[in-house]
Amino acid sequence: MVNEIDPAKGHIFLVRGPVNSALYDLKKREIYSVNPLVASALGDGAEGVQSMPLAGLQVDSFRSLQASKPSSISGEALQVLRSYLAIHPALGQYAVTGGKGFREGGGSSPFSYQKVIGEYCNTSLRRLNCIWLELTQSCNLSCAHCYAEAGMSRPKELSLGQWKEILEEGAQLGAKEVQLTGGEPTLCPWLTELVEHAKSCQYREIEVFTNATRLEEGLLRKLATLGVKVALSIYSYDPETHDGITRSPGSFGRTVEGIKSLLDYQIPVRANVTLMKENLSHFKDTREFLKGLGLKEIGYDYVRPTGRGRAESTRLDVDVAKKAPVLYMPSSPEGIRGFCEDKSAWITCWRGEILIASDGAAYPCIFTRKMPVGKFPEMRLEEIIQGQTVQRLWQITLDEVETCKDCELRYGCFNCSALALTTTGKLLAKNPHCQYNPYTGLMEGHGEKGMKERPKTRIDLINETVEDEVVIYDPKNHNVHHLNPMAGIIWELLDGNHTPKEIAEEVISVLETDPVQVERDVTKTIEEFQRKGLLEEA
Amino acid sequence: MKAATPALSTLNIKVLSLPIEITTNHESFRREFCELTSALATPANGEPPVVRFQVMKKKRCLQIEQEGRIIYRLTRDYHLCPFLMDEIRASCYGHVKDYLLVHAGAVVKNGRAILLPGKSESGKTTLTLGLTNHGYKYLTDEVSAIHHETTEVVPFQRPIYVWRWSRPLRQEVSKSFKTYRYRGEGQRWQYIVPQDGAVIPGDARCKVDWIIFPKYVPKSKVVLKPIGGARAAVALLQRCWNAQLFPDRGLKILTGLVRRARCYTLEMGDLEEACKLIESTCRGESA
Repeated sequence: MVNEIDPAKGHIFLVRGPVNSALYDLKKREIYSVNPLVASALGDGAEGVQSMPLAGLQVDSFRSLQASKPSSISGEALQVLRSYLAIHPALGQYAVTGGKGFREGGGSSPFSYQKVIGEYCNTSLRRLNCIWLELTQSCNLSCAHCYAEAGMSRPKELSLGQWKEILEEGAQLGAKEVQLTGGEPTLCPWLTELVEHAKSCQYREIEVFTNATRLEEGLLRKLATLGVKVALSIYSYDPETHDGITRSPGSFGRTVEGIKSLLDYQIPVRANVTLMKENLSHFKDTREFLKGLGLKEIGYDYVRPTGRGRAESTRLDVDVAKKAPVLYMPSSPEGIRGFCEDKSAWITCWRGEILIASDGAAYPCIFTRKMPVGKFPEMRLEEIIQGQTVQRLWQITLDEVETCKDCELRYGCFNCSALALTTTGKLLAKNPHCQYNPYTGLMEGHGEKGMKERPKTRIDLINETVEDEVVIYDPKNHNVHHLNPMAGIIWELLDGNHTPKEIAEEVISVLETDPVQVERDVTKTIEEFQRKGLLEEA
Repeated sequence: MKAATPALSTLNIKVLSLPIEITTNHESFRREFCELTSALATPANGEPPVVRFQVMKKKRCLQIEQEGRIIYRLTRDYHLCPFLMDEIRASCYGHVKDYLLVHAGAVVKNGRAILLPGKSESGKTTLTLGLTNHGYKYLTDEVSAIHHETTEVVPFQRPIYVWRWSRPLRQEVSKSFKTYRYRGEGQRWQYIVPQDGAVIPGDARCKVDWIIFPKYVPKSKVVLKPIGGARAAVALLQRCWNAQLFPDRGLKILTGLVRRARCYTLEMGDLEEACKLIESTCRGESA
């Protein structure tokens, strides 16, 4: 715990990046981005310092105030900062030089990531902490993006006795958390018995991940009595969008009723919104809607290219994901919390976790389905986690990951290794959704793409003309666009042979209206097409 | 002495041309289910089933199995029938290859259908039920199945769920629908099932002549406004459940549909008035 940090060793660290640097305050669990000038001032123990929270627990967007020169920092600001951070005593212990890892201030011995965790956490990195149990492959919904491709059950699913064995062995190996998931776990006839058994095995945290569409009174009462948590997915505040994603009409109503029942029984509920093309713009309203229902813990995630999530129709393009306001954080509160506490698994994923699928196959996590690491009951749980692959995966830190290894934010950042692996094919790749480039010190993905001199519509789009108006269907993301007659004329002329000016001239010859206005409208319309991704890229 | 095991009986029905088999040992469920499906589904005529369900009464519980896998287990049978009907419809979505499924209600009179696409809470179900009191027959209140070649709409009927059932509407539809109430404590859901007189045979196909996008606006006047085909096609495509199955043809099918139909938006504050307006408009255009 944070209180266990030895004050004599200090609690503030400076990590240098190629351009910017970051201050880690382990007591306050916050990270501060500082520019090179400030960093050098800090490293030298000089007086001029100014910074603002970058990714503290309360901060959800990228903010950083950089000093242009030490003299520009006012005495008052410096005073506030000093009392806020109490920087200098700590930096006296652990100032940093060099780009990789910590080094003791003024000394030469490398101060590695593992050593920091080891010293502060006093726990073994190889300990099993959390197990996911996919009780069944069966699901009553058929969500477009389901990573488990849930639907019909698998021919040979584990029996009640075998699940109980796994729970017992997991507890003996030190696991404190278990999540019972699926498919839809309420379709497993032994869910209640397994929840009871997990409780008797003394798991600290038991969570059932359900779609909440079929929560019976008996189950609710049992979950409430045993103090079990429930996690669920909901995709939108709009029933039509939610039902479209689950491909199950009426599922929204059933899930909302489920949430209300859970809250009635005072069961702790965590809701997760998986973001995809269909619901990206709904996130804020969905969060408000869920808050309105009385939910407190509401998170988001994005689709991994695993299972049905492989279909590009649902997944966010990397560029879109980078631009999405809710995905704006380069570093997560969980990361810095993990840095402070013994939950080292938060810093990079996989550590201390294992998934057992309904047929007994073991995977490093729910999203890494192409990397089996063993099979129950042929192998005991201990054999599986002691295997070479699992042990290697549990040891990976961002100090090894491309680009991240040089990033100053790496110790407070959550990198979904499964996303990186399934998107790029490389185990040690940077999270493709991350928009921070440590080598430039800038956020990327926000610039508009250039337009071709002679713009051309995408060849794969399907369009139909109905009564002078054009309807465009984008099979890549299932978006539909409706063009009025003038936009329809412009659309027809976007054949790669006309410049915007030439298109405007054609429109003027047809419509005989104000040329200046038409030229302006044509440019605006083509820009809109470009923004909606309907034109071939430059 | 051991009690005799109840006899198993098998029901075969067709939903959207897909043969479904239900086996059960639960006599009262069988009776209720037969009553429901007599109006809603056609017999399978001996075709091999694509999906099999089992509804089994056990010693302490009831359970529904799909393809041998338990999908639901409950201690009382207060909503067994509508639940199974839902599961049957849900199992169809994965097998349907010839139909575009659009989020819309639909009714038909003299072989000419009105499609009522709209968002949830827009009044689709209410309007569908209201129109059945004006001589229209029920095709669906939720998902309309449109044939990919002919653009005809086919019946895809289900029991209709009603939440906090309003008295005026209940009285109106009582002629053509039978109301079932959940017998469980504290259940506020009811479902109503169209009776023989309110539906048309499950294998019928109806030409869509009108597409009306309803919007419930409390206390507003009833206004029926024509809209362009392009706008209607966009709205239909946005409400299409399985557009991904027809990536290259979906738009063509729907633009074909809107070209052959007259498209309107409907603002309605009063159901009866809205039904009368639709009826008179359609009668006038037919003439």
